[in-house]
Amino acid sequence: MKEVKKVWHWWWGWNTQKVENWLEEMEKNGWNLTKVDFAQVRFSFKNGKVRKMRYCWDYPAMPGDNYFELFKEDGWESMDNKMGPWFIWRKPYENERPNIYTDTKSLIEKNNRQIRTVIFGVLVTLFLIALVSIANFSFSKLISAILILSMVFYGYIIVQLCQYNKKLKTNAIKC
Amino acid sequence: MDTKILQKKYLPLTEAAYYVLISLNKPRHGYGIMQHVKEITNGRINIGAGTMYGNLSRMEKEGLITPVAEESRKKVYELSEKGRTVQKLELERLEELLSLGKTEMGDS
Repeated sequence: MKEVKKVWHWWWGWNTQKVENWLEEMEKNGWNLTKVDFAQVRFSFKNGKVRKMRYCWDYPAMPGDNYFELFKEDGWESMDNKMGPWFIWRKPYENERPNIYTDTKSLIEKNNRQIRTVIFGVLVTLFLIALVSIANFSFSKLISAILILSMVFYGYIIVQLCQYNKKLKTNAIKC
Repeated sequence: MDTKILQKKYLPLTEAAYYVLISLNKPRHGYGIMQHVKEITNGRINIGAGTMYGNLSRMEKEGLITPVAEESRKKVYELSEKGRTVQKLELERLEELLSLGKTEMGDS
């Protein structure tokens, strides 16, 4: 049997439970996560012990030493290079499944931070579009297509995050 | 600061925010607050690290709490005057809820 494997797994900021649960399932089957790279979408595993391991994705506001110390003291282990903006944490458990967010308001704030980042991306893209149309490059059609596609991508993310927040606000999803 | 503005802006507090504020009557760092809250509620309330960090950053920004020291990469916070006022207003709100509830339900 193979001892190590690398798996690509895409995830979205409004649905990190999916990738968190997937990693937990891998651990249950004895595949221990050893590394996360390529903008946090490639996961390396080693065949080892069966573990009960909770994984959590966080999107904090301006994390300093204070942030990392708090998580460390609470028993969380960092699974990335601490560059952000996303941080992956894990913690072994026995009975009660630990969580980093224990109230709805904080989850909504986490989503709002993501929305603000994407809006910034939209503004940068608009600025680039303006530049391209003024400069009129020979390959401006290709660039315009890429920029317009990224606008669609950003729009999709914002809509999804807003819908997620709406569900949280109306208690359709509970923390 | 005007009482009405504070009430409108901050009340009611979430359960997490309420416990963070009452814990910071004494200087504590984030994990210290988590432990303290768990202890005084007999393990009923477990504030997650993400929720704790989010609340502390927001409350610091809003001036409800002030960092008073930094011990081995951990920030120690304490209630500010504004935070104390907000906490007092929340207590008054809760006391009114409780006493009206008891009066109306015939249990006082």
